[in-house]
Amino acid sequence: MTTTTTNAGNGTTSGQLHAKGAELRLQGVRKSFGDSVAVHGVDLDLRPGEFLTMLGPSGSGKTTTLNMIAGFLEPDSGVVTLSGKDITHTPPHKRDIGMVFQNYALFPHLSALKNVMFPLQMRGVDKKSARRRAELALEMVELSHLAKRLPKQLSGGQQQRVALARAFVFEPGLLLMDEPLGALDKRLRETMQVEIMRVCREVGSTVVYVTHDQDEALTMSDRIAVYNHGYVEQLDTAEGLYERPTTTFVAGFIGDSSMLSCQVRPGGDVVGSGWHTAASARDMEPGKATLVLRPESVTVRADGTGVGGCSVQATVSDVFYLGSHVKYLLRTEAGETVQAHVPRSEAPTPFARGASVVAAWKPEAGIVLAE
Amino acid sequence: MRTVPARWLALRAVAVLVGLFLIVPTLMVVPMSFNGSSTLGVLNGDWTTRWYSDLFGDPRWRAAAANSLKIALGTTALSLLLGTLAAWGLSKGTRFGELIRGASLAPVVIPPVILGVGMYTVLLRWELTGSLTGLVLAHTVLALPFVIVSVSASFAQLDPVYERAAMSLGANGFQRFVRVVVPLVAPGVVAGGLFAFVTSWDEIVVAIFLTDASTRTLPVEMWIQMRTQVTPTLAALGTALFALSTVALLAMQLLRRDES
Ligand SMILES: Nc1ncnc2c1ncn2[C@@H]1O[C@H](COP(=O)(O)OP(=O)(O)OP(=O)(O)O)[C@@H](O)[C@H]1O
Ligand SMILES: [Mg+2]
Repeated sequence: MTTTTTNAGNGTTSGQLHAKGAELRLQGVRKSFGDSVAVHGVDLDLRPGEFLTMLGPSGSGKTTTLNMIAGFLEPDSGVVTLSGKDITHTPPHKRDIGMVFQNYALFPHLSALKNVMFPLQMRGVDKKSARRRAELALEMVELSHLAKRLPKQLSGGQQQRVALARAFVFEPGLLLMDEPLGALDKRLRETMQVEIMRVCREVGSTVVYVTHDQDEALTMSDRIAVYNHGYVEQLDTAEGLYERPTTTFVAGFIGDSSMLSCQVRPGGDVVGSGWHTAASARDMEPGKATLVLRPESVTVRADGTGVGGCSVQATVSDVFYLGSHVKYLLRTEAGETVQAHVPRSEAPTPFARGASVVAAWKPEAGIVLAE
Repeated sequence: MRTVPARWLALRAVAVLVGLFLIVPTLMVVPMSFNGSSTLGVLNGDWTTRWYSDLFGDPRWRAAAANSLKIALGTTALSLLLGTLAAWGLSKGTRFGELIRGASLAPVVIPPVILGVGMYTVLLRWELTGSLTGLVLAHTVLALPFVIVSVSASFAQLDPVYERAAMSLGANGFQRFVRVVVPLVAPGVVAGGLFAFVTSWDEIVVAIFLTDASTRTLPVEMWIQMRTQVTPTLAALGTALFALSTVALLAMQLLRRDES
């Protein structure tokens, strides 16, 4: 009954569970169901110990990708390698990957402790050391006092912790989590985000985390893969996605933004309706494009005097007072919407709805994306 | 004043009558088994436990009961093993699954005499007629559909995510079956086991074809004795069996209550 080739046998003595983060690589991994393609050739490359989040709308292929990494689905084509080993066709139970499921999937007939001991026993670890290490894992998720309870006697957050402990107790090189916090309320989710990050850092495994909650992705990840219609649109750090989105989808999905349609002229001038910037897109092909503006880089003024950069004439269509800043929704003469966040200190007497204003921004703050 | 509707009364009456008809004929054997009259079906004034001492003292009944028990236990074990594995496979919903499921129910609709003849022909060739093994095999054919149906019902309720979880935690097929699948479908397995046991315990038609003097089961022995001499010993046996199945039924009900 013993499965070999796992590091679960080298019992830890330091009082901590510790895994050697694995390197994960997906090359051209593709999966279709009948006629519909769920995942088009995805490439991912994770450093050992990295925390990667797959973020994207419903049905964009996140779970499908995760299931191919876990081995529940076989890709139509492409290669999955873990620590340099091709595991594309390895059955799930031989992969040495820990997984946390959305509804935890704790075995209802086993106590919390027995659930956590399960993967160790499957690997032929003797009962006594399995027990010791399971207790250690439960300690790491601060649940030692509830070890004897059955899953149904635990709250959602507690079940989540057990599921987490069960996934890392055998010190896998890679941890997969598919919307592990989806079933929890917002407050608990925020607590658990911090908890998961702490535990993952302590254990040291490489992590692939799936969510469709943008804030969760931004908080937790080293890098984020933004999914859309079965493609990875962009793979970057949270900052990179926000500052340098490469597609309008990413720009719209990560953070608030305004999008103004425009034309790139030969030579790099960008011309929109009611505004233009000189030579800001020199390396782009001429043609239709979109200007992306983050709300905090837009200032609102009474008139155009003294505006150095770009500006467009607009009327205030809505004002929201949000404590630290004022949020404006402005309507340009061409009917496009511009959002602006102005710190309260810079707007002691905010403009009222219907006021005629000028929205201004520095040329370098605008991101021009080709269609 | 509200009047009790006539329809409601009629419904009550019919229900009570049907209930009585279901139970009373069976209960009739109880007084018969304690009555002094040596003709079955005739009651007189004196009461005795003589038929019970006859029953328990007769080696033929004891041998038949032992045979029945061995065969029923063997059938239960074999049909549970095969039926649970089959239900597990069928729960994966493969293309031919539904076809196989349909075919597995055939023994329920095929007349037992036909099955008996067929079984006899096959087991004769394998030299297994007149053996306990042969009858266990034949009864397993009869019991299997009940096990598959009742375990499948449990599988229908089982979230496949548990098996995936077990897989991701390193459990191979055998480990998943023993440590995760079986415990989670246990209610269906227990019910299927009871069905299998009762199917074999009660079965007479196929058993008549396949048993000889040394391997007679209780129903066969009853049938043979009834054809030669009808004594109240049969009523005593009937009462004992009735008591046994009542206990089994109550046990099953209690089990079901525990679960919910
Ligand atoms: N077993 C399947 N059979 C057929 N189509 C499937 C199957 N699994 C997924 N799909 C389809 O593949 C696409 C991607 O699904 P997937 O579950 O990967 O999305 P997701 O990004 O995880 O979405 P969500 O955020 O809703 O969980 C969807 O269009 C879905 O309908
Ligand atoms: Mg999903």
